[in-house]
Amino acid sequence: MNLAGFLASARDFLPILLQGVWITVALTLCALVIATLLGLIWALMRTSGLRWLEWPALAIVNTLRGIPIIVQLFYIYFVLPEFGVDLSAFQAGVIGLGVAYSAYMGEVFRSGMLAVDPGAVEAADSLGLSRFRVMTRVILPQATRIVLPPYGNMLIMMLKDSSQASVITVAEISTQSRLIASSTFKNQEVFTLAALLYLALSVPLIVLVGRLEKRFGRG
Amino acid sequence: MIEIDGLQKSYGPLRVLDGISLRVPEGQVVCVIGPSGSGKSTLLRCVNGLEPYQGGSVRVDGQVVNREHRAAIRAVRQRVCMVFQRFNLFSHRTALQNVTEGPIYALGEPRAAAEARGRELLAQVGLAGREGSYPRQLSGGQQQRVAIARALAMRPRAVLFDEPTSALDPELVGEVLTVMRDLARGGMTMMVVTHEIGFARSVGDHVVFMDRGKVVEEGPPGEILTAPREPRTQDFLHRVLHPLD
Repeated sequence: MNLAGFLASARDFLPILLQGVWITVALTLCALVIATLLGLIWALMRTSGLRWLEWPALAIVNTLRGIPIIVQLFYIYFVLPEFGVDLSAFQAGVIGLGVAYSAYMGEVFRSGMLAVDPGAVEAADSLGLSRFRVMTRVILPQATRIVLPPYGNMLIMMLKDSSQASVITVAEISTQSRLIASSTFKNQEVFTLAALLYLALSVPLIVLVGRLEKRFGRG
Repeated sequence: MIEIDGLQKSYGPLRVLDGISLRVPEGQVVCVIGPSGSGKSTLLRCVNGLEPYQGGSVRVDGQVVNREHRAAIRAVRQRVCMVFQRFNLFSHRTALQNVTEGPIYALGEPRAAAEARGRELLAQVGLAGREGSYPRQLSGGQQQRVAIARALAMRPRAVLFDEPTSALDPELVGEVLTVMRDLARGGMTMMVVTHEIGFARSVGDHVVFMDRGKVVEEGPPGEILTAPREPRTQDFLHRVLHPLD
């Protein structure tokens, strides 16, 4: 593969691959919303102190963690229609990825909630701050600082794991590159481009997370 | 100023405070000493409404401290501030922000005024120039002095100290006790739970010895710390002052 040949291939294939990039980004962001909302619910249930909430949440989280994402996707896309739930490949991908990651997000949020300094909360109480102020001035800022870096890492992993949705025909980067490669036999060029596109998306996030860790690491 | 009458508190079957009565008059420094587990920290936390109690009463400026009434308890807390054993600073805020948090968000003072006063208070506790430091960049003694400034920023009628030097390295104890002594000389009403017998002797107006949830003995420091009447007080003081005997 010479550089001129690679650039020519890039010119030919990039328009199709860029369509895949948009699908990858949309899939990841939609799944992130679901994973965040469900993850918050699992975390709140698990820290509620109520056994009838903690147990179901623990069961759900462990079940989701114990099944590979690819099998969860198969289930949603191929099995749910038998029960009358017909989803497009993209919808199934969003739900599958989002639900699977909600288990990990839940753990991230839970550790953040547990890591808020109870002494600081007590100090805020002892200054006569209202409950709302204690929440907005102490608990949320501290939890956010703890949670943001691992949350960013989850986003990076989701971005890469969105490629698993190719098994249920979602037309994201990996699906598109596999289709192009199988019809043109230019495996090297196509998959190099695919890797570069993933890097273009993930490296800025990796740098961002690194900065967050540095900034919030100072406590 | 602070009036405690027949205070009762239990954790399940365990009675931690068993009919405590105590007065902290305005402008006086009352030191509470006693073995760990005697209930002295719990007593202090009841005064500021951080702990519920089951019987008796705590009054501050005539107002009953009752955790059921959220607004009333907030009013009490804004007048009686607490300094904790482990400082309990807001780790995500600078020294100055720690000090201005209460005035701005509990008392509604304008930010500029709160910051100007915050700087004065930090200077008063010997921390001029450290306004922008985060707690983890400060030594334990410095952190505790920020915590004292944070309490003073509320313009409290009294300050409660919960073993303020127990978590400090020995060489840092002096700087915190000096700030507290100066505060006492300035006429601040203080209730101090402490193991620093020397501080109680030289700064305290009144010393209370507690054991197993009860006041065993109280009186002027010269009396209680030099010639205690009760065997339990004698025994405790002996163990604190001569640990190797």
